Amino acid sequence: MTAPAPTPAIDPPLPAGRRPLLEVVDLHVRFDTAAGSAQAVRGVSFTVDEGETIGIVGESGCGKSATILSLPRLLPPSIATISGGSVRFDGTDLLHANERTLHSVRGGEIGVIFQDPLSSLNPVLRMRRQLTEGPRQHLGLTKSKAAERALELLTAVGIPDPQRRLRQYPSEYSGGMRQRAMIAMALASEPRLLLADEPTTALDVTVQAQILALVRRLRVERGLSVVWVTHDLGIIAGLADRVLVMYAGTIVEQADVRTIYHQPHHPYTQALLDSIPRVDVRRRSALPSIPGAPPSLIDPPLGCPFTARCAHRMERCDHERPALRVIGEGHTSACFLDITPKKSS
Amino acid sequence: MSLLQYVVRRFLLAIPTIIGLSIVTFVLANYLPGDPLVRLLGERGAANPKIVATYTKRWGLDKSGPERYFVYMRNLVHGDLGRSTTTQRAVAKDLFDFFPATIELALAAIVVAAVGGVAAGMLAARFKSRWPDAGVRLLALLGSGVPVFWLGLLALEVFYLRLHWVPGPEGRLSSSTHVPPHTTGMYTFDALVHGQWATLWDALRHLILPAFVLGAYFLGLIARMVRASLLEIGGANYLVAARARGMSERRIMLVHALPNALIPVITVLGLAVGGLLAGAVLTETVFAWPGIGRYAVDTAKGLDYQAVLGVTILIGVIYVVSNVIVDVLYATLDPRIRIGR
Repeated sequence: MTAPAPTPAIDPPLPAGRRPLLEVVDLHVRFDTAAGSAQAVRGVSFTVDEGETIGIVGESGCGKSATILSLPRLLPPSIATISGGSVRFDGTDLLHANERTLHSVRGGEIGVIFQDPLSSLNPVLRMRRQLTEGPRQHLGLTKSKAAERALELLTAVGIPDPQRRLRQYPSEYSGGMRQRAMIAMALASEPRLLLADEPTTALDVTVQAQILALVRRLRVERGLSVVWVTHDLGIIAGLADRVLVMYAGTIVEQADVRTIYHQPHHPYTQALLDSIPRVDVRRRSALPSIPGAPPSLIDPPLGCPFTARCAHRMERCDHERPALRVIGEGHTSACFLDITPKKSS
Repeated sequence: MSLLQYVVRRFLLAIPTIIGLSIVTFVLANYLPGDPLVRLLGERGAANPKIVATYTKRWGLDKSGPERYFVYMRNLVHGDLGRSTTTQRAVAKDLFDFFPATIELALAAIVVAAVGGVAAGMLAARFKSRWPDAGVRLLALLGSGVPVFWLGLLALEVFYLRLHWVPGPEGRLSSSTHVPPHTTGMYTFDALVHGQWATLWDALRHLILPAFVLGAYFLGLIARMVRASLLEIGGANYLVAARARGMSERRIMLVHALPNALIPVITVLGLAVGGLLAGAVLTETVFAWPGIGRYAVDTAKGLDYQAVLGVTILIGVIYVVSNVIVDVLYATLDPRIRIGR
């Protein structure tokens, strides 16, 4: 007799009416470079609810951009490989989706705005062309209907004289205007999720503030979910509902935005918060910075990746990697420390 | 600066170039060996004092070099390029008759080079480091490495003598085919316009091999350039952004990547016009193609001073004008050039 067939796994019943729009489980991304194979993302899990805004913070090279760009599989396959995990968008498994599904999800369900608006716009195509191709494909609009829509979009993102602007090329736009146009382009086909890869880094502070205000307004108007990646905790404070702090390809802390700022648990989060200038605190000494550099991801350390730079380092940190554990309501941290070691001033 | 302004400016800038070109050509032609009168009139004419006197007056031969230049230019503006001692006809008439054959051949070669080169380059870039890429690169290397006259003879050996796919080196039409009514002088075009399908087919069969031979060098060059520039822009952010908007790989290649990759190719097309006219001399000789290249060879052999001068100036003007056209194409394709002035 053959062994009894294994019982099919039964998914736990979903909580009524609440289901995450995006569900990322144990995502791994590997970059194959000349220097070796780097584990850019090492087991990242998170969810994004309908209408929710998630902020992902971390320094350069922590894997935050790799994380969000791998969701709609936009990383170049020649160097980046999604080596494990699952990504479900509204029930669709994106990592195993066929080309057709991907083409309709990209742009149609998930819009992306990129770091450098100039290089992300095609220099030889008029803006009208670039703004209308999405809606024509995803919403099935005619050329003239799509042009009308492009006009509305440019108006919605606050670009004056849109009729003239549509006829222009990206090089004729100013930096801030290009980013507004990028946002218009990302929202053109009515996506439900907006992924933002450090879109304000290249802009000056005034323009940055305008762009943030614009996204906050559009988010409410259109009921968008947003995943916003940045190295700037200041931006996240005014934008996100929930914050993920990433370090060396892993999430080290996750909590709602108030908790992250007022009761950070992970020493890395604390160090990040201490290194931003604040107007409400008087300082006599220079702004502290975090000594050292993140570990190599080609040969990641066995223990906690932050141990070499950590002020609270213990012996077990060197050879045991702390897992994310729940330390409060909706608050997880990947650190062995028992209590909140220090209340951020 | 609007596109129209740019075009007008580029054409105005071409005028001094053409004047300079005519001066250089004129000065060089004056250094051809032999008695200029004999060159112009032939032995018999030079012996007749009446003819000599008329010619001396008409071309200002008793005047200084600069004055002779102005006389030549004045006659040129009036359409008089002198007489060819080889054909015993007016040079202007000769050029008018021979030129369409060359234009037809060169245009066909450009089409072959551009279409074939872009297609081959796209194929190579798409299958980088796989066999289509290796094949295209090898063919491109052969195409641009083998001399035109040898390639021409080889092509005739294979496609005419062995395979009988094309007619032999007998010119532009079979002897049994009538020349189509003159509209442009380009037989394929004229036959098409007048609906003479048999003539069109015959003209195309005669045209295809020389066009491939003449275009081979630039086909190879363009294939390698398109491949390199497609690979260079392959990871460009704007392509990732287009992908993020849900565009298909096909559309990304054709609409987003190709126009950017073609910008450097346009420059090559400008150079190609000069190279093709030079190559036409050899190709036309190999295929007995009655064009301006063969006319240049035949007249140069006879030290046919005014014919050589006429051909040289005509080719020079075409070269300058085609470069202006390339600049304009450039500005059309890449808007940044117009803005950057």
